[in-house]
Amino acid sequence: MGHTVDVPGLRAAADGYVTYGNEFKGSVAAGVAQCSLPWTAIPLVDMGFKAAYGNAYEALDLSTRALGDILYTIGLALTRVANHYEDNDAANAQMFQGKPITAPTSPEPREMSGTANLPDWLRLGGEGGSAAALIAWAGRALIVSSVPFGVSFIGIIGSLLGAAALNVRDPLPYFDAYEGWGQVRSVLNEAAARVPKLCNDVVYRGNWEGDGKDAFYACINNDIAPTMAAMKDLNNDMQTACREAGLSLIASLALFVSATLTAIAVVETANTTAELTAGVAAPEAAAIAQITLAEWIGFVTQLLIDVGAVFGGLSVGAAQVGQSYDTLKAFLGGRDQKLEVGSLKLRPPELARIQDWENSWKEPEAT
Amino acid sequence: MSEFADLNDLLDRYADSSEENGLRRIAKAATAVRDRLATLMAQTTTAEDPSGLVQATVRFDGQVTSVYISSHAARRFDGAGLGRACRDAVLAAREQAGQALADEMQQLSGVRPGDSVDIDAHLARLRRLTEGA
Repeated sequence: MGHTVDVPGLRAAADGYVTYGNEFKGSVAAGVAQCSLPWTAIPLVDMGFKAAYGNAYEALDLSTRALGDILYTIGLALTRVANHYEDNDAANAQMFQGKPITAPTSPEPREMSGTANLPDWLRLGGEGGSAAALIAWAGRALIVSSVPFGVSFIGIIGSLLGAAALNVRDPLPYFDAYEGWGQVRSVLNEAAARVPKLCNDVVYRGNWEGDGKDAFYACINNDIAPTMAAMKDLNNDMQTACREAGLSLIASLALFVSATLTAIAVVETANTTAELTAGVAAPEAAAIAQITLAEWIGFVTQLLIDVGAVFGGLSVGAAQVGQSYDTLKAFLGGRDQKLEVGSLKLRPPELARIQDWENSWKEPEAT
Repeated sequence: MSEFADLNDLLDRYADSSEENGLRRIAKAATAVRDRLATLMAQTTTAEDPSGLVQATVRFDGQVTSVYISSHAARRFDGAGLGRACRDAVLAAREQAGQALADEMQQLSGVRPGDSVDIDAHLARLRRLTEGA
């Protein structure tokens, strides 16, 4: 009884893993890079969102790079098995110098860059403004026009404008990040479809039977597939969070500017009336202006609370992000379940099992 | 310390911090200011027209809650005159509301009579914060 293995078929499938491992890393890298949020886009009252987002970003960046390397390594292991089955151990000697396949170097964790990069500045310049510029422009006009209504109004308005500047942030980075998570999602969805297909190619096109096949099958289905599922979950959570934050900030900014412009119009009308009538008609208009300013103060305070509540809600959502993150760590983490240098790779027992694919597969007719 | 002064102090203290406790305190202080303003704006004040025959009651946010027209007013004014009396009473009540609001804002802001506010400093702070963003 000869070998059951179709070596050309197995080799083609192995090449598929090697190629796809590299392709995966390349296609996911641009998307992940686009997902970084400048810290200045996160409101001061973020209720923990900043930390949760940074952790999730780092975890997805690491795990996507690690997954590409792992798929590449699996492809190499299968190539080695194909060579062995072909009785072409010389090829293995040449490729691996008689050594076991080593895991790829674990990727270095990269913290999310929180600084606005050149494209951010160019984009802001091209669009002629940002949330901060709008707040500064409207706020300055409101402060100047409110001078006749007393120092107490000026003091409160000035402070609330500062709070608005710190909390009603530029929504555009969130939509950039949303788009980035969307790209990563496409890559992960494709991977979720292609990796099982490649697995089937190995098992069925390679006509593989025996313990080696079982071990390989278990590796793909018990380790790789759940890891990808966890990555997809985390990615989806992050994409949703960016959309909610972006929409909330757009609405907040629009409401802030609209309310401030309305207040400026009312206050300017009172000022103009006072000038035109030498103060005769001023009391009525002044009363309306004072009421309007008080309402503006109440409105902006409520707006700040609302922005805090939205980001508070997102950090509650960060608990969900945390669960997905924990699932990832369970598959890719080190002994202490931390994602760090050295942990994001195939661990020795997993590598040993991969070596056994070759050994336990050599003489399937003997089993 | 007033609710607003408390919020302002926290905003200054945690402006460059991401300390979660500080952020929660800011949110709590903002809620206190919001609640104080909501209570304030729901207060009412009453004023009369110059004849004293029509009274209007308005909330501090300007909404008219009631207009009292005495029987004397109904006899004394024709339709247009009664309308003017009502308008005058409402405007007088709103003026009172505006003045009362200004006084309450003084307490809320923690600014004392005679204090001055440096407008340039506020503008510079706003510029610093927005340019920093």
